[in-house]
Amino acid sequence: MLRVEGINTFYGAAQILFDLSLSIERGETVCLLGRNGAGKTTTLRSIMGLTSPANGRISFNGEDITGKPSFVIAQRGIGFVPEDRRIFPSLTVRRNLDIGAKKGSSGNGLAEWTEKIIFEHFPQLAKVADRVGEYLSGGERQMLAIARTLMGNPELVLLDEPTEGLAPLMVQEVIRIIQTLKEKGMSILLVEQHPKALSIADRVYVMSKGEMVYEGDAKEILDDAALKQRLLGI
Amino acid sequence: MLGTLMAFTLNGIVLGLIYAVVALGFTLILGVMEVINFTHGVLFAYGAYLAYTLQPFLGFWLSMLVAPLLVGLMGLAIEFFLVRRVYGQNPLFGLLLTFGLSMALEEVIRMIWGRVGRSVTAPAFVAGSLDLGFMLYSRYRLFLAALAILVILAVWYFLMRTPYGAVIRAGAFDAEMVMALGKNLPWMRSLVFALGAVLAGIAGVIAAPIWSIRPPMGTAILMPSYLIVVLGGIGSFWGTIIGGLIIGISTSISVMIFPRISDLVPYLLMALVLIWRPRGLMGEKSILEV
Ligand SMILES: Nc1ncnc2c1ncn2[C@@H]1O[C@H](COP(=O)(O)OP(=O)(O)O)[C@@H](O)[C@H]1O
Ligand SMILES: [Mg+2]
Repeated sequence: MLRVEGINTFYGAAQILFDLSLSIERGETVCLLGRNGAGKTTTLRSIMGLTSPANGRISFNGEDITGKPSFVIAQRGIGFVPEDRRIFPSLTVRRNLDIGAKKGSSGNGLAEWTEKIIFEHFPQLAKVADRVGEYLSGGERQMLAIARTLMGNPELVLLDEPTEGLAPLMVQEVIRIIQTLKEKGMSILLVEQHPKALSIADRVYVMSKGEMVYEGDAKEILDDAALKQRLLGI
Repeated sequence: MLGTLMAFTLNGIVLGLIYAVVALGFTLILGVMEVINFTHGVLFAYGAYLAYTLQPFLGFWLSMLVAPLLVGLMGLAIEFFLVRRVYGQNPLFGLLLTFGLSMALEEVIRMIWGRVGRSVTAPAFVAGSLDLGFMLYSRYRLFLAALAILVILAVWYFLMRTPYGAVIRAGAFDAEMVMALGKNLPWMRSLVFALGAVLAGIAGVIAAPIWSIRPPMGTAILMPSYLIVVLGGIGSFWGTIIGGLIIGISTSISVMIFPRISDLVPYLLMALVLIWRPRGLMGEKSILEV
């Protein structure tokens, strides 16, 4: 459903991504790994149209979305949950959800997300529904960032290190939610360092210094300690 | 003496409310797009001139509605064809662009309506004065004050209580994220610009019967609006309203007490406030700066 073919992305004069390719099939959970600074965030930003690649091609559901403005890409059905959450601090949780909202299921058998359903899946958020973003805890912010993106009823979500900086209990909760999304048939591109993420993933990509260096089944890595050590340093 | 002071204070409040409506549009555009829109004053003038032209045909109420909408369309066109090119660039570009454009638009006023001033008569139902108990006061000015308050509350409601207002506030805080969430920000920015223009237009229309309409009236209102925005805190809703009232009342009273330096008073006030609070009265708790 998502096809990234040979993209090169720059920040100013500095080239960050080199001839990078990846693909995600419908309903798949794909994990993107790599050390800090490898270019994982830049990859997600390229897909989302926030930092458009200089060349190469990105297509989604067969449509070329290379160089399209990010709001068009979001409307086509790709949701983005940024690394730093970026919730709107002076707006309440409900209003934050409104900003992400796009009515109607994206089709493909995915059920529609509404505020009510969101609050069922994120009970912690329901409790603070009328609190402004500024006063949310780190965990609540991450929940809200995910929930806000889901309100746009995407077919594919790009999650950038969703467990980063969270307390162990919140990490569990985030992983449970990703698991739920997967069971609902959502396609997921997950950037994550947490080893737990590997057990959710169907497939794994590893990048280093802006290049894709490995692609394989998640199982392969999990089962092969030597490979795991080499690729992830764990 | 006391009666005169009351009258000048009331005049100052009315003036301040008109200023507040104009400055609200100005600060909205500045807060959301980070463009200092120098055409704002001339759009105010177009509101007044269009009302003057339309009233014989449409009557008071309808022209009051149509004139600001036409000014809104002008704003939409200005944003779409010109101003959107300077977003995210050196703020000087936007300033120069809108400054030049405002001079051109003022010349167009001279070409269409001539150099001499015009006057608009207030409608009959608000002619004359009303006995407030302690003094007589112009009915039209009271009506104008009520209208201005209504407009201010409507804008507040739109920004603070509707989902669309929430998108605008969020967009002022983090435009990239709002776009990544699927919101058409370019379109939203056009609408904000148009809304700002409509506010200038409304102020022009309602001020027309108490001010003589002249081509430079737009330039004349631009400076106080700018002062108000800086005084109140850029992007702050209530700061703008309070700033408007402060400038309105102080201008009006200083005309009475020291007419010779009355033009200077708003600037002195702004300087004092900025020494005390560099971000303006309500600079930190601004609504747009989410
Ligand atoms: N806005 C930016 N401007 C210039 N360089 C950047 C910017 N953001 C990231 N980089 C550089 O791009 C490289 C990849 O960064 P990033 O995609 O954030 O990596 P990761 O998410 O894998 O940690 C790093 O070397 C980083 O320093
Ligand atoms: Mg990153």
